[in-house]
Amino acid sequence: MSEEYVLEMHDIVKEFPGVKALKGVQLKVRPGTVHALMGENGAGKSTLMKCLIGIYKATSGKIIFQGQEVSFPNTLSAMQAGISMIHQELSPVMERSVCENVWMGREPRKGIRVDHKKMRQDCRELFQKVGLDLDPDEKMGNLTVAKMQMVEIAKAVSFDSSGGIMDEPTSALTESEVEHLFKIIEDLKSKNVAIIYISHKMDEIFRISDEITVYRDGEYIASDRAENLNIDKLITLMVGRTMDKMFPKIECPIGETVLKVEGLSSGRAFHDVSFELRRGEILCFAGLVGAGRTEIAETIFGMRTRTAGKIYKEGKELHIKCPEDAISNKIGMLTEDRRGNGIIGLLSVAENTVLANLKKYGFPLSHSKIRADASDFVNKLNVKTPNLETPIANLSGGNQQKTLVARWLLIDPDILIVDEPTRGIDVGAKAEIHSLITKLAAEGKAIIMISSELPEVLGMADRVLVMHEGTMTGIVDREDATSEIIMKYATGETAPQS
Amino acid sequence: MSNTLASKRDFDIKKFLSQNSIWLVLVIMVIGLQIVSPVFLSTNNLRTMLEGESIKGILAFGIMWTILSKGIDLGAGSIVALVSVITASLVQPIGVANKLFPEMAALPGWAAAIVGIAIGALIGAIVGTIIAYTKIPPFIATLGTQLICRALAKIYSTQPVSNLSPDFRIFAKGKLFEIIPSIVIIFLIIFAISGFMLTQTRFGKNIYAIGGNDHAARVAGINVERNLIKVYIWSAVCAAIGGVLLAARTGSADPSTYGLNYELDAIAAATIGGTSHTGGVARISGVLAGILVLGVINNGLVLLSVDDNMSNVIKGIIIVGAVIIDMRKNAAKK
Amino acid sequence: MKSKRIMSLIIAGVLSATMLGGCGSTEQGTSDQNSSGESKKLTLVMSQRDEWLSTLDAAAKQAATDLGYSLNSLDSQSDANKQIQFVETARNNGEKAVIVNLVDPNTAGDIVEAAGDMKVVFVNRPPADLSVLNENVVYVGSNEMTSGKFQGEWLAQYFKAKGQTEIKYILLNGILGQVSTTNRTKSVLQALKDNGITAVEASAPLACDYDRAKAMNQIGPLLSTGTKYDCIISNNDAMALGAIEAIEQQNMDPSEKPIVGIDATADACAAVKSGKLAMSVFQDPKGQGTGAILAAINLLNGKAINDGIDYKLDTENPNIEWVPFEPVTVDNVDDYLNK
Repeated sequence: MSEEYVLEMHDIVKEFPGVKALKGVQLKVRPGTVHALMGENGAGKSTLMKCLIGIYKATSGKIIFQGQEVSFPNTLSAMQAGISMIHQELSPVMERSVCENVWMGREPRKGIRVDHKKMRQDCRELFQKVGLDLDPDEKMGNLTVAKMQMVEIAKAVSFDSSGGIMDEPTSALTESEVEHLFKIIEDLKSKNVAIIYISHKMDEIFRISDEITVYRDGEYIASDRAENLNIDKLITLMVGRTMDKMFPKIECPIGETVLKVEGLSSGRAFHDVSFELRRGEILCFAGLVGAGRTEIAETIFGMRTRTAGKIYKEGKELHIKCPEDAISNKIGMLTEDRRGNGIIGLLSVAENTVLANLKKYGFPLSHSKIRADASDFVNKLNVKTPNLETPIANLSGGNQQKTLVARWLLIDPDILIVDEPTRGIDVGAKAEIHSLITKLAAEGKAIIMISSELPEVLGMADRVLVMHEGTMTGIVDREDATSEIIMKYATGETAPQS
Repeated sequence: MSNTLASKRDFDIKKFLSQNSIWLVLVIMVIGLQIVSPVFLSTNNLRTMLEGESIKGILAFGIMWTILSKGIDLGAGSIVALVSVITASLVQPIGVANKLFPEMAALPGWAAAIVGIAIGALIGAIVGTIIAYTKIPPFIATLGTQLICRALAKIYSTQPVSNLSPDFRIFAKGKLFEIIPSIVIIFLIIFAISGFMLTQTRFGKNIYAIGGNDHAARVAGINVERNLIKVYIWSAVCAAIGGVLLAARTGSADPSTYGLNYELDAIAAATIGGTSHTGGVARISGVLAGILVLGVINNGLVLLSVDDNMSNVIKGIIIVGAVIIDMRKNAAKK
Repeated sequence: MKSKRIMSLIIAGVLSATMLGGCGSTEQGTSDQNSSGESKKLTLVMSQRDEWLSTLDAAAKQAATDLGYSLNSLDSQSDANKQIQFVETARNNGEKAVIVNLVDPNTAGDIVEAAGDMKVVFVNRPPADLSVLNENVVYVGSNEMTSGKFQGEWLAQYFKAKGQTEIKYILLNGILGQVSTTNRTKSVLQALKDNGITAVEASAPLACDYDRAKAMNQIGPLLSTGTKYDCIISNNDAMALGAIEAIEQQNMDPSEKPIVGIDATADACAAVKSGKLAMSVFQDPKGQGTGAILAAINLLNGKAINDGIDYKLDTENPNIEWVPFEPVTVDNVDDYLNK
């Protein structure tokens, strides 16, 4: 019976101080299949995988790999046994070359010296195998996030594993790169490799997975063949209730122009971008990764130097040099890299909530007012946290994001920029964030939203501004917007001048 | 949801102990010492201990801010030397032996103290500006301060500056209610100010944020540069106050030995007190405990006639142990 | 959560164990004090522990043991503040006498104040203000003004024998600002002058902080640039030996031009014997250490401070006891080699 599965995990329990992250879950993976793990963030998927590959040690439970009970002390031994993992959070060494990153910790050697020639050659062969066109000597830090992701994937492939784990591998990839990845996966499948696939993107799941296991709140919920499930059934299993609409767009009147951008450029990132933003409007920036969308937002918000162009708010020209200036002009920005420049992990939920608005709390700071405001928003935005003093790092991604939204709402912004607000966030929280953004627009705030997910763009936007390699290729109204048109502009075709 | 929020605020003994383990260590040490050396808890001995640790303690209340902001201040000890020598030279009455400026009348004690503190603030502003705008590692920048300030002190005076006026020495020698030394009161005032700024002001919150994640702090509209400059000013001001007090306490200021390695003891106290060198974590009560732990070790081992090399062994064990606990406590959150 | 608590407990345990271990070794002293009432305990507060001061320290310990006292020796690590703290702690601990090797001679008054009713013996470094001395506060040491004098007199004799009255010297200073540095330098130059030698600097004085390596680094460049000099005057032996190292590194002969030091350390004596070091001045660490302990015990017993030892009191101030300096040359070096 057990030969049927390449990997079995039984009754896995993992306790952290104060939290029981896994409450006795199971997983059974057949060789040569893609097995999707589904569940909201915090459901325990990533924790389970970390227990598997030895980043965490399970508190109790049994892991059987290729018919033998195993317990890996670290990731390297897991890799050597044949299980490799592509992490959700990339952790490459930015200052070293691509090639060194791929062979890190297992460099080919000649005597005691590292054999750089062989390393480079092996790397080229590997890249050829996965169809990646990249110079092994390129510095990792010079790559786009998407390319880094592909390098990680190549690295996983290089282990000749019999089991691979992919945790959100497509989060930074463009459509064509995703296609490429799927080809690699098919190829691995045909070599009898089992793949555990974690993603929040439903369409991907149903396209490539053979079996799906669902977890919720650290518990095993169900496991079934993919063809027996559909999106609705899956979501119901994941959230334990039926979902409201994914994109609860509220139609609201669009007011006067709040923000006007003329001929904005910033170095080589993007140039000559002009648009207007009106009260009550959601303007989406669409485009492929690296098209310069985030950079436009960063320039408006003062995180990046403006090299040309003008920005007007309510008719007055703005001279924003740093985020502090932007905030005093009532512009807020929810950044793309939540951990890198969003949350301050060690600080509490309350402190993170009020961080951009400490001026309001006087001297000395009124802690009761801080608590009141924070608890107000925690309730209003439905942030799930044990208490206000909990370090924000202990919350799930979705709840961190909601806390950050609260931070910006506290400054009562006229303009709110949200950059990939739902990246890495589970389905339930995603819909909540969507409805929150829509409500804000309905209250008369002007929203700029950057998103790489076309359904999100189409579902949320009043207008869509499409970028291609630093150039604005078109602005599309809601009623005209289709995925075809946006993809056309995003790949470089410009809109007819009108 | 609001219900759960309220109920979870209840006192959690386990959490309290894990956050205050250093106080537990302190209590154990105090009890142990009192048993074997009954003079330990005598008023005189406690006063001696506090007087002796006050200056380094004041430094620690400054340096903890630099550590909190993910930096360090290695210059504090030399600032102590420079400020003590300069301040001392201003309060030598005319006619005393070895007077540095034979013609100059002595300034009032408070005026000299203000000059000393202003010099500290200026040094802090310079090093803070360099750190904030050039982004060179604080370790290096303040190593520069250390060398330069020590040299400046030696250039300013090649010999100890002594015979200081009584109205200056009162800062360290005065007593409140005939029993609490003024130096200890100043120590407590600096403790209170530092604690107040840390928890009750925007500045404090900003530094927690910068230490925790400076990119995120910037995006949240915090002026990282200006706040870092303030941190180094505060640290240098604390060191300058330490310098003034050291001159007042000893009645002399020796450019070559005063304040030597004080920054290391202050860093040790802050570290033992749970200030994390990865930034973003510090508690003023912890630092106070750290200072007291070091004080008790210094004092206790003298009372017990233990070889003083042993005292350094114990200090070493405590510092490393404290950091191990600290790392374990914060590892999950990073 | 559990592991954290265990970790704290382990650390607390280690601490207690170390401290209790410390107690064990001193149980004897503590119980003595409690039972006999008459304290047989002395405290010595050192400024620091370089090689020379360690010898003083060891001699003091030995002398105390021989006389039936236990000596607690503490290292202030060049921190005047710490030194005051140590003295106060000794007082709090009920001790009757303290021996202090001053970090900063200007703090002597405060040390006396901190000592309260305790008898105070300053050793090696005199207070800056000698008026703090009285029948309960005394000084035991060597007269720094005579150490340089021995150097100067030796050099004068050496050059006069060569018929030379004008010389160029390189001066290796100790820690600038310290009384010993100032006095040693002042007295050697004075002695040269008094003996009819016109001495001029061959280079700016080098501040080498009594440190051998620093002296080596500073003198090296002077040699390689061919600075002309007739002799090297060093404030201590360590720096003189550093100079010798530097000279030998340049493949020159250190015995060619006289080098003079102070302290007569074991290394220096060996160098005197081999002719590399022209002479040194013996400042007697054992004599000072023994003398200081004896002085403290004499004070406690109400006797004259030099009772039982062959050292003279100062002619003007009876609260100063001089331990003599002695010149060490190739003629008498054998007497000091094993001292």
